[in-house]
Amino acid sequence: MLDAFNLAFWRGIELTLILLPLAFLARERKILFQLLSLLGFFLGFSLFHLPFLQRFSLKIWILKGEMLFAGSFLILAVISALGLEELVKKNALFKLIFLSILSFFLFPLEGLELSNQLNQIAFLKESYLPYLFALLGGISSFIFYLLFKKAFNFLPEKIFSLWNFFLFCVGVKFIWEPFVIPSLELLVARITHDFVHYLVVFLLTPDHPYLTISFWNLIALLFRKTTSLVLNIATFFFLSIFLITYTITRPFPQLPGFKAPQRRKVWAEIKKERWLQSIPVFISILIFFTFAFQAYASETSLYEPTLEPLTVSDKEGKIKVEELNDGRLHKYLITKEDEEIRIIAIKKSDDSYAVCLDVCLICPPDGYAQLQKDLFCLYCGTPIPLNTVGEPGGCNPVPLSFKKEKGTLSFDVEKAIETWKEVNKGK
Amino acid sequence: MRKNSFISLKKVTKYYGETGALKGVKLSVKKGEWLTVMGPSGSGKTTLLSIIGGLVKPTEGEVWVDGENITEFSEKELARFRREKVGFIFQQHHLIPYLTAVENVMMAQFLHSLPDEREAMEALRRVGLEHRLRHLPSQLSGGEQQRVGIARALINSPLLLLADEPTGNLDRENARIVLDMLRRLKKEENFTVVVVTHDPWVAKWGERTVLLEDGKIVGEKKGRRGARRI
Repeated sequence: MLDAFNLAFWRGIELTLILLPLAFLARERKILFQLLSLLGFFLGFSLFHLPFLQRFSLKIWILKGEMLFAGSFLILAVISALGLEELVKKNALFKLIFLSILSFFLFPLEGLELSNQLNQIAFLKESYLPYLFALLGGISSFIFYLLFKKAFNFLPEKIFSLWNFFLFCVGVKFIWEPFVIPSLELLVARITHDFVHYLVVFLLTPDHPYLTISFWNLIALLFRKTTSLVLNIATFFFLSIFLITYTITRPFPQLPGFKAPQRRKVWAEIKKERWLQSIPVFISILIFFTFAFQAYASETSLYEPTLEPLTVSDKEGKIKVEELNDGRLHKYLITKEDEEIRIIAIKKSDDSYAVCLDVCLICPPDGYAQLQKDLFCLYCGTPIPLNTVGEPGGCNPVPLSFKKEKGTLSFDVEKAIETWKEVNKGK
Repeated sequence: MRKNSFISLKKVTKYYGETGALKGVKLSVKKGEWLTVMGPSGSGKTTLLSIIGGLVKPTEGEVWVDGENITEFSEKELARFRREKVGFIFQQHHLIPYLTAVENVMMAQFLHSLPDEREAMEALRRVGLEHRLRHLPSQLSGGEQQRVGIARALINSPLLLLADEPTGNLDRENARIVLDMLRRLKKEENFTVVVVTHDPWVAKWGERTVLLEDGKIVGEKKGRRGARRI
């Protein structure tokens, strides 16, 4: 339960910290607000797709995904045209509902991994968790919103303190799992990936001489966590610099009736205060970069397991469960009549197992390695989240049906060889 | 302290070691008055001016300026007092040689609050130097340098202007220009002026003259004629 509240708490803070600068810009009635809020909602709603689709088990990618994307974008344009401030000006109940809905959409379902143990609690079934967290996120966001508004009255200088706090949160808690960029990046990457795979490779230019592994590696860059990290750093850095620049250089109050030296005196005080208040932001940037560097430096390299021969008895391949208890990827080799096929097996975080061919439907059979919580395609570099291994389709390794009995996972070798041949035909 | 005094000195004494520069000086200056302090070399004129401007602390006595007893001020408070209430003009100008005229004026703005080039240019225009804005001090005549000094002294609208031999380095014609200009600016802005000089001709521009000898005020005269011994 603590995990759930922890998660909702942070989501509430995130949401509030997104809303506050936007509301401030709205109050300032800057044209820039329209652009920024559009961008902000665009980024925020990019989270909308994966959780939304997953919730309703709609595994649709190519066309409907884009339509949904375009539709969301249209909604964003309307919302930003109306102005966020106008929306949140309404009464408290409306705000709470609004924030809860937004929290629901912004809430990445992947975050639920943090509270797996909650699944054990009968009344907290997984299907209710997003709604529960959305409500908790909305409530905490609402409380923070009111507190911050009451305390700081939306003074731009105070926004800095919030931004500073936010950077600390990001630096400490979300450096590798920030909430906006990876989703957007994943969306762009998947669209690109699917477009190239399905349209260019399969339909237009099969066996094209220039669509080599180097080309795939370029696309794979979009999928890398390092890219996420760089994009996050760039976002926070440039947004911080923008806020600093905007606050320091925005015009001073006119002060009619003041003599020139008196006016300069007041302006000097304002300027000094602005610089002082921006110092924590500079420090935060430094701290953020420190964390980023640490995160980058601690990134583990690819784990490529050694290929072990697999014994076959009664046409069944048998893998000992105890071998998989380390949670790492295991690879097995089956040799039959000059045919060699590779099998991968892994124990997932929910204690279930996956047994698959070491190849997907799309790429040549270079196989997979493990990169932290992902499998990593050695051909195109696509990361496959471990908890989706065992599901069919796309870049996932081709799953094999298996039985778990007497401490072993057993599967039909003939069928595995047949599938291997079929999948690799024409590659 | 006289009721309408802007500056009031009460038995001010200043000793440098054994040497007495001021000996129990009593003096009052009204707001908006132009007072000239005359006296021979070594009579204590500059010490008196420095004490009124908060540059030097008296050994004894009290100095009140604009309702504040500056003898009780800390160094920080004195700095604030000088920055916000006092403008200084010196015989040697003390312009920064590698800054242009407008930059010299802006330096005073910077030390006070924020530099404002347009305001500094306007100040130089008021002292007739709109054609010398970008000139270095070495490219200006003595009279022009002193006018830059006046613009610099007045840029922060001080309540009190202290001038120590402001025309000491100028010929009669340039001295007249500078003093006429000071009189015009004082009329416009109604600041109080204390000019120290040994030149009776300069004293004619003042409204009142006191004569200082051996650290004591020994004569006083209102109007444009020189002071007589009491």
